[in-house]
Amino acid sequence: MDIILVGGGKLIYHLAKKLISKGHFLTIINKDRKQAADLSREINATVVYGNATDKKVLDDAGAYKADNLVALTQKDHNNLFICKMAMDYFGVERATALVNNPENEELFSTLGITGIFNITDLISSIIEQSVASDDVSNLTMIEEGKLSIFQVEVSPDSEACGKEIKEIDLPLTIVLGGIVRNGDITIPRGGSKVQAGDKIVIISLPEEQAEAIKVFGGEE
Amino acid sequence: MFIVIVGCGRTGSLLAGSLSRSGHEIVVIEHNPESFALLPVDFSGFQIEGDAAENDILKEGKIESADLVIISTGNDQINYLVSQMAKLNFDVPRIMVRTIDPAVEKMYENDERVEIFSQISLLAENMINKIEREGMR
Repeated sequence: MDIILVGGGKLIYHLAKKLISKGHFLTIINKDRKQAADLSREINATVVYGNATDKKVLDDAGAYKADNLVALTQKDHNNLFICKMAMDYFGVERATALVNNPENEELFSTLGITGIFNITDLISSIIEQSVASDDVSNLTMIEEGKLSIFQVEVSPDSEACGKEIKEIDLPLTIVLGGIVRNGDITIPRGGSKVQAGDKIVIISLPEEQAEAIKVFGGEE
Repeated sequence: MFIVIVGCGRTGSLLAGSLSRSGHEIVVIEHNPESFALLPVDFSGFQIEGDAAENDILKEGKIESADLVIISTGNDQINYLVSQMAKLNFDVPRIMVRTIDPAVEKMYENDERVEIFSQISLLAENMINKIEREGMR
């Protein structure tokens, strides 16, 4: 694939190396003269020195033949503008923008940006999830963190311990997927009893994860 | 009319002053507080200091009830983002945008409710018209 990367720093450097090793053809646009020079020495890619919001610079970078453009600058207005220009002026089919302000995600997608990388929400959900204790494991996130699947070990002093599922006060959006007891899995029903040491597989929205961990794991 | 003006540089402040004088209700949003000094002494509207590319700042300026939003910062990229925020996030009925680089004009093609004013194209057109009119004499 013909890919244009816009931006600088270590992120671009490592991303470029990785993509090149997978056989993609890369062009990097950087507006800092020194960084552009360094990148061109260190990486086997075409490096264009200039401001990618300028149509001529995109032209120089071969935007008309690119399959994919990825704008990773720190400014949302530049990322949006570069992606829109690539799509509207040069017919680039896929454009991905880094979104620094999470509120912009919806707007960017309404405007037709095909890939959105919402760094703030992503990092914040990873932080929230890593705060959870050792009793929580096997975290998987679906759709960039919009749904999580995880496992909690039932603690003897938790609210849920010794109760039947239907007696436990849980938000409706939390779904229990399985109970693991001594290596055997049962599918939980309303009458299933939860014991200390059981591992409960839970599917929930990231914002309700903490609530689920509290009910089964015991601690705050 | 209730008009929100984004950017209080030479263009924004001139517009704000004249429109306020002719009786419109004006809110000016500008991130650099020193720029408010460009407003004329008889300006009777509101000033909001902040980054217009944030929904909260636009809300503070009551943009959702604006009849018209004029976007006139000196940065084409910010102007584009704010124009789309005004249109899609706040459903503003009419948006006027200043564009600097004539190459960006095409970005606004088929963009309903958004009108662009390209400073370079307008200047060139004015001069050309004048030259051609005089050439006919």
